[in-house]
Amino acid sequence: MASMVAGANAALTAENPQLATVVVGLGWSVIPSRGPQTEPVAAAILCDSSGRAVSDEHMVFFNQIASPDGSVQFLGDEDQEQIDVDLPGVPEAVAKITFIVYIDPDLRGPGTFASVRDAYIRLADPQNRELLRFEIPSGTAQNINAMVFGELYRHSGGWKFRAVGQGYTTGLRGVADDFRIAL
Amino acid sequence: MAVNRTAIRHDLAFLRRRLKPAAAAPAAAQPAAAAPLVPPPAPPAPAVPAAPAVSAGLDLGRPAAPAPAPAPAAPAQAPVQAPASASAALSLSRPTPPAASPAPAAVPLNLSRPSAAPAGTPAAGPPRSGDRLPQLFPAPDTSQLHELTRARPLVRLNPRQSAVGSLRVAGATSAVWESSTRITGALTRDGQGTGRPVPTAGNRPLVDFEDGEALIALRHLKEFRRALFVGADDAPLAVRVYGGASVVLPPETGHRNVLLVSRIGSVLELRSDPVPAGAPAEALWQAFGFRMSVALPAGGWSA
Repeated sequence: MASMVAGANAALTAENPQLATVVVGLGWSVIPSRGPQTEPVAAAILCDSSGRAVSDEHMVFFNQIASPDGSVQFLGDEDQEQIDVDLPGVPEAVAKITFIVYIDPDLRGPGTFASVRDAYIRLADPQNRELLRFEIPSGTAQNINAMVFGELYRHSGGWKFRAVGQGYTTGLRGVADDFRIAL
Repeated sequence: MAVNRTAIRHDLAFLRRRLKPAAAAPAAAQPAAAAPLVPPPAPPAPAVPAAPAVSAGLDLGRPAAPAPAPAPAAPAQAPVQAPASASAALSLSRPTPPAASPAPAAVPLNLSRPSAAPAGTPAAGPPRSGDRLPQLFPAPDTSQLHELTRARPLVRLNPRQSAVGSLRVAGATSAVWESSTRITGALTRDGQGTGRPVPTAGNRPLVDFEDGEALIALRHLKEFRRALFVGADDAPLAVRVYGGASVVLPPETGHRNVLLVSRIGSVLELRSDPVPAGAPAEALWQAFGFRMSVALPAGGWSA
């Protein structure tokens, strides 16, 4: 298992040639509250070569739990969320899969990542052998309400993973604007 | 079993979670058992009935017992002309193919699960989209319809509109809800409540009023079944979702706007159903089939 820092990348399939399905686990803990509690939500966005979502249906999250081609699916809950990516099944049009977590923008005190602790993204094989892990740095999240945790991207016929940790202060709306997703 | 990737898996809502490691632990030493992607086995598909005796599920169609064609002049008498051997009892079985093997002309009421396929029948594989969820009939979306009227009373949200943030209803004077577990309650804009609230993991009621607007906590959409939002007499209702899409129920003289929000799988449908002005809220709830859950004891549980 390799621990990553923000901005680092790893040659996922080059170092694991037999890897066909990768399990992407995202996890966090939320500071308990008696009042309205921050609710992080994980999502995966399948992007084309321009970095935009291939379509609105290529945002995969709890209410749209599989990409149209079935290559990216929400399946597990061993972490907070688990997303299975069938690498050979990902359409050629998809150049990158971005994994984000946003704070649900409920009108009643939605909160920010300031209430979120121990956030991470990890990649494992189908036998749950962990391959990569990126612990999201804490302490800079006061106004952040959406964050790109990491991304899988094509490189030289294979797949690489980049740890990102980039925050948004504009929430899911900002993410949707960047990726051209109609909410 | 290979994962079916031949079509969009609308059935995945029922298969969302993989098996927990704890449940799979005893079999962990067996490599063949490590197949977390395998969905629960589908009920064996009833083959197309080769014999009419096989009851294959709910069907309210008219039994196809061979009957003489009714005379055009007297179509109402056709049932009377059915063979006397046909049972008059309610039959929910699949219509009997004509000229099939000698079988009872009518199969008695049978609501049981279809019997297992006979040995040798090919495995059904994972359930396909049509097996569990009906295809939704065409309905306009929020880019096509901005006002709900008597002529066009329904609009359907997409899965993203149905699951992000809060669905806000401006102009509502009361709301009544029913959760997926059939917890029912009601709340007025001035805070009068009855029935039971539906708490969520985020410590927010599933349906609530905030700053004079009614809302639904869409993060917990799966806990939601339906809700009714009642407006004031001769006043509009307006619905808005996180992405900015909105729909208005325009005012109608002598009427009160009523908005029914229903969850169909992963999407919400909004239907306008105006009623005469002055109709009491309780009567509306009953008319729409809401029956309040019994409230928990206000003073807490005795020791």
